[in-house]
Amino acid sequence: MTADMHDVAHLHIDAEANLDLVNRLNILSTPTTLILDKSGIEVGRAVGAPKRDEVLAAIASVK
Amino acid sequence: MSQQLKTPTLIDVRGPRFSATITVIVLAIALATQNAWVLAFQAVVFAIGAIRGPQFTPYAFIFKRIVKPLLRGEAVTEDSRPPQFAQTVGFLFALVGLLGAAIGSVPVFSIAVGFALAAAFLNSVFNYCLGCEMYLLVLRIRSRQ
Repeated sequence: MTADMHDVAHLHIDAEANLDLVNRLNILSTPTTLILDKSGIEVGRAVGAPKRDEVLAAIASVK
Repeated sequence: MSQQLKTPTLIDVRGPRFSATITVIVLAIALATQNAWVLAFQAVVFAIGAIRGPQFTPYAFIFKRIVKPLLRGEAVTEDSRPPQFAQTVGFLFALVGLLGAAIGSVPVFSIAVGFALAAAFLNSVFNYCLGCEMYLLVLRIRSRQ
């Protein structure tokens, strides 16, 4: 989905293999989507699979 | 910091929900008739789901062969590990229920089946998979020890 957005990067992280990160970010269930701004600050998160429109809106609000 | 490991097995999210619906029916029959054999059948299904994965149970087979071809819309996928863990939890409840039947305890049988039935009902009707929600929490607790 982010393939045609040259200024947005999508990173998939396996929760099971990164439990330290899961604990640190307080991720409670999978999948959880974190929206980060350009300085890496978390500006929003969606628990469960987010809908396409929700992701687009979240990305638009960061830009 | 973070690693991108092997791609997890992705399954159609509607599969486990369909399977939960059949599970509700089977467990309701087991509870209503107090029939340990019906519970034993469900225990075997749970065991297959727990060991091989939720996409390999007889219910998942029905979903793939009959239900899925009838469904429209894009298939949203999910990691198979949380529902697989949920099958394990279901299996443990079924096991307790069977132990209850073995010692002739109606309350143990009924309560264990009741819990499994409630969880399957939540999954089927509200698409809320209790076992899946527990999955990461359990892993987190384990990682701290």
